[in-house]
Amino acid sequence: MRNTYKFLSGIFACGVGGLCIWGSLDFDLGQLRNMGPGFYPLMLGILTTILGISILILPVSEDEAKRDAILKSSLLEMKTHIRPWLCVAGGFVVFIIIGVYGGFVPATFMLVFICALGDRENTPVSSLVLGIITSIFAVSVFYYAMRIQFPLWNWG
Amino acid sequence: MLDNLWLGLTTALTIHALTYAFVGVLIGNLIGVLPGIGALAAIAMLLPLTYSLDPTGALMMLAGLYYGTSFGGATTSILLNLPGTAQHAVVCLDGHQLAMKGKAGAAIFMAMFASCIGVICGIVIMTAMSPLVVAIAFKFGPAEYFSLMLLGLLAASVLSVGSPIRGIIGILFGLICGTVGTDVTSGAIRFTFGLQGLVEGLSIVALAMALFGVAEVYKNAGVLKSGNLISKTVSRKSVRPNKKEIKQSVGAMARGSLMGSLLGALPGTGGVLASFISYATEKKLAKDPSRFGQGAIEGVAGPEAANSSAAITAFIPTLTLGIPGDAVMALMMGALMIHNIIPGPQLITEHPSLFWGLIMSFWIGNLMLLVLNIPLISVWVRLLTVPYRWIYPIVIFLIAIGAYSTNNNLTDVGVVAFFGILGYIAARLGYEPAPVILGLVLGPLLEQNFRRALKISHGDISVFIGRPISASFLLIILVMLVAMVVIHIRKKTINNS
Repeated sequence: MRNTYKFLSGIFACGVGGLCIWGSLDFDLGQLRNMGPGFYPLMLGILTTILGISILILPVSEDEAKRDAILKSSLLEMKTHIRPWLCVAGGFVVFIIIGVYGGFVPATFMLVFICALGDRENTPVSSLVLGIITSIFAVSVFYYAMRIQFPLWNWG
Repeated sequence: MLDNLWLGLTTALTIHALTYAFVGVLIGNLIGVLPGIGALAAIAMLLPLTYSLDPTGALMMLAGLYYGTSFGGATTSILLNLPGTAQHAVVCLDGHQLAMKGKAGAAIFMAMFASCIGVICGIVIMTAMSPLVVAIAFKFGPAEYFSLMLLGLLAASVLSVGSPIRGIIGILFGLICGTVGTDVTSGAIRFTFGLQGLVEGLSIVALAMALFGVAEVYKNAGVLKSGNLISKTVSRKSVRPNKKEIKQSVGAMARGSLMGSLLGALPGTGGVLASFISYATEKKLAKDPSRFGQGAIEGVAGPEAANSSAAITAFIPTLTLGIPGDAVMALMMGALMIHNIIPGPQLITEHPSLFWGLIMSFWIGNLMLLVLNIPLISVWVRLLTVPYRWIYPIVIFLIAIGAYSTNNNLTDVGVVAFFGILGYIAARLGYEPAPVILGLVLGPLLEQNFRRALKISHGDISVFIGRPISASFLLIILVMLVAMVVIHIRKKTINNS
């Protein structure tokens, strides 16, 4: 299919629907008068898959053609996105891991530091400064003023 | 009726009540601007402070907190595309676009103004029609709730720019996300992949911030050509909406307020449903629907009026029937009970000054918000001129901590991270986030009401058509679907000829 946008769009919907159907079969379906936990997700999954297939089958609409052009042109620029994407996603992962083992302060600092490094125009020094400023703000507002339940430091 | 309003005014306008309302509004506004920290967290944190106060003061402060945070949530939706609550997800759609065009001031001002109008309308309907509204609410059984929600969901599919099928699929995605967690009826634990943090289900706040906020960061980080979010330079004039914009919004505010007042009385989901249906209505009624999603001011005015009036009428079931509509109302009820005031039908007769004072304080509080925020608007707008490369790491942090603070659970941060990526991919493939959020909010209730209705009717599916109110909702759905198909076919034949 030449319209990549349409293809990926339909596959995405079918994928989610399919996974939903697969997961819901683990549960008791029951009957209409006494529905089990699996009934509703099964129906949702089937409906989603049907609509996903209809996206794949139906003829290309004007909107889909437009969006395909946009998608294809932005695929060329994908390289500039990779660094920020990795840094933001990585920042979240680091926040969670350090949040468990290190505490609120290091987690906040590392999150902001790593995210900031995602933008080519941010130098390591400016990211460091941003991280420190945010950590100070975070601790004073969230920990002291709002009493959030998150240990500040968690070594050991 | 008028003497009730007068009683309310005299209660609410005492220095005592005004001070507490002001404190509540101020703190609520400041907290509400922090994304993810909404009314629930703010009220929970500040509730202990109210124990030592008298009932009137305590309630004034809590009410001030409630809409202070709501308003703060509207501000972040517009400035940063970060909805603090599900009701504000719709405001992101056009509000943020307006902000990016340098019109954040107009959008924020209109949001405040529309809220005020919505509150007034809600108060009027509440005073005039309270018993009627209660009577209607009594007629709503599970079948009616199901059909109404289905109608709301379908209306929301209209929100998807360009492709109604993808809008419906978006809703289905949201409904599927809603099945994650413990099934209330049977106790089975679905789709949690072994994660303890998901047993309660996916957090709406986490998902809203992921699909709107994180996806937006993925879109913009590192690649914004202008270095900041605004594509044009901000002029002094854009701090207020201009006459044309106000004129466009008047109808939206009126319709939104009406819809919100009626839907708010339905416990639980009134506000969210009202804001989505208001948006969909405005889009349908506009002369040029393609403006929506690009910065149509009615897309901010209508939904804001709707969810503010819904917030007022949501007090009806809470205070008169003792049925809290959502967690925030439940906390308010708890606060009342701590002061030995039992919500229920006798509340209005036994404590009239409290009830009416509370109602009027909503209006006064909204005025306070307006006054408080007018000078702040230019500050907010300036915020957007800060280079984006400094803004987005802080935004990501606020999202992470906002997600964490809903349940003190790092799993929610994981949810945000995961759905941020998924949401970005889905958005590129044409699946807009707003229908997903509505699906997530209404999903569990939809299922519960469906199963309940069928259980009561012993598996007889014609119950949905048999009962008149439910049947009329389903009929409207049918008409809408047919209209959508007909319009689609007509467009095709016009294009072909």
